[in-house]
Amino acid sequence: MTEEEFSELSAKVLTNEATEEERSKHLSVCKENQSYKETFEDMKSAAGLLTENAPLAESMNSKDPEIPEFLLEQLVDEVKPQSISTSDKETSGSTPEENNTVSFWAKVAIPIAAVLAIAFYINQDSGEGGNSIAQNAPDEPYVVASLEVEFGRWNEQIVRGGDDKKDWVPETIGSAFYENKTERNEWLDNSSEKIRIWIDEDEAKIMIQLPSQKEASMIDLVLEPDKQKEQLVELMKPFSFPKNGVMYPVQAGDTLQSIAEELKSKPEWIEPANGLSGEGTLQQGRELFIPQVD
Amino acid sequence: MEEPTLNDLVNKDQSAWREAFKILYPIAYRTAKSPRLNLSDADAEEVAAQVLREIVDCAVKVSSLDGLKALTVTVSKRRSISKLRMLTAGSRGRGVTDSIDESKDKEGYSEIQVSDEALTPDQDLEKSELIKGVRDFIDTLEGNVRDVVACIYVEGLTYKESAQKLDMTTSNIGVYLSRGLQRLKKEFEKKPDLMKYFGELAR
Repeated sequence: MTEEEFSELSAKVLTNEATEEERSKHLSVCKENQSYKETFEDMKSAAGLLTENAPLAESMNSKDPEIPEFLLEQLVDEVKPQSISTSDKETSGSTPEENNTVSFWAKVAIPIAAVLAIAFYINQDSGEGGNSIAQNAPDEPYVVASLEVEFGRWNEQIVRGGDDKKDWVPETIGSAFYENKTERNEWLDNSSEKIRIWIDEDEAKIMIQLPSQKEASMIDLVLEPDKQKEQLVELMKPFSFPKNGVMYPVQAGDTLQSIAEELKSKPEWIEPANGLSGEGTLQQGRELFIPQVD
Repeated sequence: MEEPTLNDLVNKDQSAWREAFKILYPIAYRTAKSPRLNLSDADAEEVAAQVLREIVDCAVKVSSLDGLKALTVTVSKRRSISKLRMLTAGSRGRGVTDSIDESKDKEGYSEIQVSDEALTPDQDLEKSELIKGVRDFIDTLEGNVRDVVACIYVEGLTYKESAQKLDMTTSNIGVYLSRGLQRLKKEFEKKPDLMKYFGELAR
């Protein structure tokens, strides 16, 4: 059998077009000829890659359907440099379901990133104003459950604001923070999350509360960087659940445990993800976000 | 349609995103409608809208508009799988605890294997590089080889169906297909970042 004939036969085998007789013949040739066997292995890899990715790759060239005009206008309107304000959210026209899924990052990752970013800048700021809060910037992302927040992406988005008050907030929430703020102790409330932060000469506090929480979590940051990290990780525990997952409508007889088992999740993830802490019975029909790692 | 610059997209320029949304919407939609996902029209529209909202913050991660297109594909795939999971979970009977990967749904969706598909944003980016690599590979193919590879792996046709469509013998389908498969490794060898995927699926 020539190499070309073998390649053609291999293609038939890989596409399930070969007869039993041809398969047997192909197998025996592979056993006898190492070079041919390697050729087949390469073709098998190529076939696997194409089967998995070619239809998706083809999607990259798609020109239709056209985006609906109303959606285009809505999306363009939502593109605003780094700020999210209450009025924007109220007029966005998103359905509740869209808000549940689309604003997930806004609800969880932004507050967490804010907390981490603050810690990062506390550490960066050690030489300014005689503040002895921190010495070394953490060089690794915190890992909480399966959620990773990397500093790198957020570093660029940090701005300093608050006049002489040494407030550090990510730019993503900064605009909303300062637009809505009339005095220092007022909550930032941009409908998605509440976060209150301040760093003074002699104190550093972080208060964070998601809509799903009845009470805010608050800590006084200690001055030692190592302990700050521990504190931050502790603070983030209520928000520590995988960001991937599915929406699930509660059905009669469902419990957190049964849903978790059925959808490969954990009750301790589902609770904070949906603000269910302390609730006895699940409301039938309610859509829950079920965090999943696989 | 004028293509926006990546720099304008990173800077959240609204007119640039207007053009980008026009380009990316059909990509997200078609991905959701691709053979292995095959969402309904309404679900594909919903997923595409979600993808475009998510992709706005992803421009900083890519190095070209092409990269953003590929990332749109992977994000759409991830969201489509999530949608399928939701649909199959919602339609499952009580007391049934089968793995969702083996679900039989009531909405007309076909079985889907999703065990390894829940990607993180970083994995989205990595996967998008592979998809872009495969797209670039297909673009390097010409004539009959390209047509046959497209019939078999994009459209999922059999030898016989491909032969009818392309008006050639099934024997020739095998000839051109084997040439296409053998060329993939050579193309990937030119891009060391992609070679790690070669052989991964065969193992």
